[in-house]
Amino acid sequence: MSGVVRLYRHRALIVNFVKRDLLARYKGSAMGVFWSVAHPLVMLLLYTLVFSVILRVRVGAAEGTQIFALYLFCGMLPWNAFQEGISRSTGVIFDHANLIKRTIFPPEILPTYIVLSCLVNELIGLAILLGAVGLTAHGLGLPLLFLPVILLLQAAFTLGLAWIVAAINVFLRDVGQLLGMILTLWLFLTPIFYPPSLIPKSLEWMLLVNPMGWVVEAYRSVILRSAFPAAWPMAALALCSAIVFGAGYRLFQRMQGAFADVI
Amino acid sequence: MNAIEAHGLSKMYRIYSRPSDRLKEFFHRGRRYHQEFWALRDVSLRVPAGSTFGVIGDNGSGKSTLLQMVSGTLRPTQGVVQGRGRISPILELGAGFSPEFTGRENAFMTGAILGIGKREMERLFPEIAAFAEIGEFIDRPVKMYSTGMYFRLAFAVATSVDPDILILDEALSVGDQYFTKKCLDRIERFRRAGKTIMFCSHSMYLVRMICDQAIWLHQGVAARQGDTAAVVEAYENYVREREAQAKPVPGEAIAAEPGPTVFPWISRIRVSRDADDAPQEQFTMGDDLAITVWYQVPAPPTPVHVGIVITRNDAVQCFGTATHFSGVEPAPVSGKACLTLPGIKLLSGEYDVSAYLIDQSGLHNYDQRLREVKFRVTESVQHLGLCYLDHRWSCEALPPAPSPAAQNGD
Repeated sequence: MSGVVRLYRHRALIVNFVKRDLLARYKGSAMGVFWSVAHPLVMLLLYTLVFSVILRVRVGAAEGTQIFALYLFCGMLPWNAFQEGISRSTGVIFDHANLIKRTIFPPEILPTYIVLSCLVNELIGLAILLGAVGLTAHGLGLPLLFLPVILLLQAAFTLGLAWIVAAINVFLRDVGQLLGMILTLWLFLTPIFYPPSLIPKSLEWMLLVNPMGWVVEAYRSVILRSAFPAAWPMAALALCSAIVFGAGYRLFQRMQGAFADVI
Repeated sequence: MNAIEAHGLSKMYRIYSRPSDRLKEFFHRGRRYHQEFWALRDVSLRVPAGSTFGVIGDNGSGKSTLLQMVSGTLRPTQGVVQGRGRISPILELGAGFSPEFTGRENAFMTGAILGIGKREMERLFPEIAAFAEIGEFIDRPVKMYSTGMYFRLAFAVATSVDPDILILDEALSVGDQYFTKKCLDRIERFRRAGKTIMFCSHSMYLVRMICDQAIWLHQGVAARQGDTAAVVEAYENYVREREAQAKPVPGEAIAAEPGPTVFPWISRIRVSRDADDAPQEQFTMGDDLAITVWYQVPAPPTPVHVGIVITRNDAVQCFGTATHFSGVEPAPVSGKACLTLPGIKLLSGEYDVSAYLIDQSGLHNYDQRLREVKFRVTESVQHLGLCYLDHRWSCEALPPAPSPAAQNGD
C-alpha cells in the first residue's frame, strides 16, 4: 500500500519522466510521434500478410475472430508492453546514476516510468487493434469496459517484477543476460502464437501458473470474444499482481539505500 | 544554532576484485570476499546557520563523499548527520539534464525533480532565464550550449528552489570568470539571507574569500578544520611540501634501476665543466658547461636520440636541443651523450636540466627525467633577464634644440 501512496505523491515527476521518455524516442526525428503509430500498424499489416495471406492460418470461431493476425496482435500487445517494461528496467538505475548520486531523488519512480511509458505505447497499439476489430464487422461490446481493470493488474504485475530486476541488476549484472533468455522462454510458453486449446493435456498445468497467460486470455475475451473474462483467472491475477507489486516494492526499498555505493 | 551537524561520519565501500565475489559473499554469509575501503573516517563538524563552510583537499580525499552524506544521497556506514531546514537536492550542476532536450524542458524537468510544480516553475522561470542569459538558446537542445551557458542555466535552476542549506560539489570550478562572478553574487545574497552554504572547491582563493569555516580532508580524514585562513594555509603548505619532494638535486642524478624493461631508459644525468669532469653545481657566466646523459638500451640494439632542456627554476625554458636536431646519432646500445655548451651566457639564477630519450622518429619518448639536476650561475656584472646578449653602447651629446617659443615666433 505504501508503494501506491509514494507513487501517487510523486505523480507529477512520474508524468514528466514518462513524457520525456516518449518524446526522447523521437527527438530529432522529422516525423516525431508518427512513428509510435506507424510501428504497431506495420506490425499488424505484416502479421496479416504472413499469417492470413501467405500461410492462411485460421483460428476457430470460438476465438471470436477468424483472422489470425488480429488474434496474434491481441496477444502481442500486452506481451510487448510487459517484456519491454521489464527488460528496459534492468539498466534504468545505471542510466540515471547521476540523479541517484547527485540529487535527492526517489529511485522507485525509475522503473515506474519505464513500465508506464511502455503501457502508453501499448495503448496506441490497442487503439489500432480496436479499430481493426471494429472494421472486421463484429462489434465491440460492453465487456470492453473491463479492459482498464486488466491493464491496471497487468501494470502492477509488470512493475513489481521491474522493481525486482532493476534492484538486483545493480548488484548482479548477470540478471540482464538471464532475463533475456527467460523472457524468450516465457513468450513461447504463453499462448500467444497458439490458442490455449491446442496445449496438450499433459502440459495444461502451464496455463495454471502463468499470469501472463491469464492477461492475454482476458484481452482476447473482452476484445475479440466480447465476453467478460473468466472469474478465477482474474481473481488469481488480482492476487498475484498485488503480491508481486508489494514484494517488488519492498525489495526495491530495502536495496535502494545501497545503490549509490555501487553505481 | 547549527544548520548542519555531523558526528563520527564514516563511509566504507566494499571493493570486490571480481563481480562474482559479490555473489559468492551473498550466498556464503560466513566468508569475506571484499576489501574495505574507507572513503571517509570519523569526520565531525558543525556548521552554524547562516555561515559558509568550505571543504578542501586533494582529489579522492573524500570531499564528494562527505557532501553526498550531508545532502542525504549517500548513507553513512557509521555516524550521524543532521541538517536543519530544507537542503538543496542538487549536488552537482546539470545532474538530470538531458542533452537532447531544450533548456526550457530541462529546467522544468529539474524543477520536477526538485519538487517544484509546473505552475510554480512557470512563475520562477523568467528569473531563471534572466540569470542564465542565454537568450533564444533557451529553446534549443542543451547539447548545443557552451559550457558557460550550460552551467549558468544549471546554477540558476539549482538555486531557484530557495533552499535553507545549499550544498554544491565543485560548483564554481567550471565556467568562466563572468559566470563565477554571477554565482558569487548570488551566493552572497544567500549568505545575507541567513542561509547556509557548504561547498567544495579546488580554488583556495574562493574558499578564502567566502568561507567562514573550512575542513581539509586528507585520505578521508579531517587533517585540519576550523577557521578558514588557518585551514587553507595548512593545506597550501602541504601542497608546496609535496611538490618540493620532486626537487632537482645539484650536480648529478642517478636513476634507480627500473626493473626488467624492454625500453631504453636514462640511468644518469650529470652537469659538469667538461665531459670528463666531476659533477658541478656552481658556475660563473662564461664558464663551459657540459651535460652528460647516460642511457641503457636493453638488447637488441635500438636507435635512440637524446634531448636536453635547460629550464630556469621559475619554469622558463632557456634552451633545448636534441641529437636529431643536430644530425648526431648516438650509439644504439647503452652509452652516454654529452652536450657541451662553451661559455654559457645564462644570467645568474638557478637552472634545472631535463633529459629525454627519444625514438628514431623523434616522436616517441622512451624515458624522460624532468628537471632532475640543478645548477646555479652567478655573474660578476649585474644584468637583467635570462641570458647575456652581445651588446654595445654608444652615446653622444646632441646640439641644443631651438626652443619652441623661438620656432613659433618665425
